[in-house]
Amino acid sequence: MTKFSSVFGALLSGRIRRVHQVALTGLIAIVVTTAWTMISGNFDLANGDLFGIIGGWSFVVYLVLFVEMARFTERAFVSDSIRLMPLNDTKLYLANLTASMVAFLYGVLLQVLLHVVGGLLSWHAFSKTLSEMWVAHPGNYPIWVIVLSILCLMFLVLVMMWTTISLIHLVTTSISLFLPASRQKAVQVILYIFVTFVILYIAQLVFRAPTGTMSALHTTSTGAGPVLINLIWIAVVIVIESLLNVLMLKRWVETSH
Amino acid sequence: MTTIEIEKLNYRRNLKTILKDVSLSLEGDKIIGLLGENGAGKTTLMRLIAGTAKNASGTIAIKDDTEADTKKALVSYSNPLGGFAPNTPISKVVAFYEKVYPDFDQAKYQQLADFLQLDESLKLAALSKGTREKLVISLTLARQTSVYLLDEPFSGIDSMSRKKIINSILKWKPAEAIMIISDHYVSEIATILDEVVIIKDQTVVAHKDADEIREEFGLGIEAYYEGLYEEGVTHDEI
Repeated sequence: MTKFSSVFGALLSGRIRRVHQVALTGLIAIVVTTAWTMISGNFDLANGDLFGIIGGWSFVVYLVLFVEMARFTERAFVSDSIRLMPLNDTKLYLANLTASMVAFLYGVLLQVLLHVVGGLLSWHAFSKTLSEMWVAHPGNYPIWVIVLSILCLMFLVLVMMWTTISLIHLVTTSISLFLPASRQKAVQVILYIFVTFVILYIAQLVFRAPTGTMSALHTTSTGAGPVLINLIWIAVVIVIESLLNVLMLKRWVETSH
Repeated sequence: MTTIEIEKLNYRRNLKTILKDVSLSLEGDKIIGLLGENGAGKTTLMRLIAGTAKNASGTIAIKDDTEADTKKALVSYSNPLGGFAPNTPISKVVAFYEKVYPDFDQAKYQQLADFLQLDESLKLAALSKGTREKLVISLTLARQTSVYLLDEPFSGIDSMSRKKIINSILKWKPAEAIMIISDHYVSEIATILDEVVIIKDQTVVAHKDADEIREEFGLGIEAYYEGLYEEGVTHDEI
């Protein structure tokens, strides 16, 4: 049997390569934008312009990484090379999702390092922004609780978005098995739209939870309970979606050769 | 112990019956030809045995085991490597196999690669159809399993490569394993087969020993196979 660590390592290596490609492209974009701003005469390091440029391009990098990791995850589910490995579908699903999470977090780490460099180079503006945030932070919680909660929330929402994408993909693939072969592509497009609509309609109730977490952090005076409940609720949704995904992998989802 | 036991296997996809009421028992250390015209269901049967096709009724047991992941450990299927990016070098594909298949024998792979003259520095996109097939065969045979499934290994490749691949099959097939080779060009593989399984009309219509066909019917495997397709044989005649 294939070990979890082996399949995780095999799935991770391709994703890490892609993270490097995307991060390098982002870095080139930052250098080009900074050079262009300098040539235009609008660059002010003390005013935090470099930090702003890094922040702007990092957003694009995060977006591209999110999409790329989702693509890696979904392709693995229908790849002969992956599905022929001797391990059960639950382990494969977890290794696949974990590989995407780890690769994405590695990409985030690279961007954080860039931000640190940018912050140090524009220290004056950076420290001023930080102290303003510190003084202005709302609610009754210490700032570390707010930061930790936001990080947990972002992480869980990220995972939930991937499990939701998998759910849409696997439901569509499973249903396609029982539809006529003719005009399969057109049928699949319609099916994707329909399944996406249905799942997002159901998910809109769930997406109230993150909003609740943010407002709880700002306004509540009843302790950390509501924040924790909201985060647990998102985790429960992830578990339910994952169980459905594994069930479909076991029963209906075939490889596309 | 029977190596592969298939009972009452039925498979439908896209509202179409691909296989119906397939029962088959394979044992020993034989090379078996899985024959049938295009679209007969040969690849589907192989994918069901390998576990990459789903939603079939009936049972497929490998060495008495019906659990999907255990069966995968007992079967080496000629994966066409579609999951790898075109710019992946052969060395990376080999490293992948070494990592995820505990039964992958690196030394055996190297012998096969040397015999088939594979250049490991080449990328998948740069491989001709024949060279790619040689790589697939090398990777498939380098695993130490009980069942080897080669899906149309000679499709669209030149005669020299065909001979090389046939020789590699004969040389490196493990003694205690069953090998199933699917093809619709029977002449390509007839000489190396111990048994033939013929699929027609979505089911297995014949499962015969190759020598028996030659002795009992006075025919070569190719003539027997073509005769079945021309005359029409029902399931009861197996």
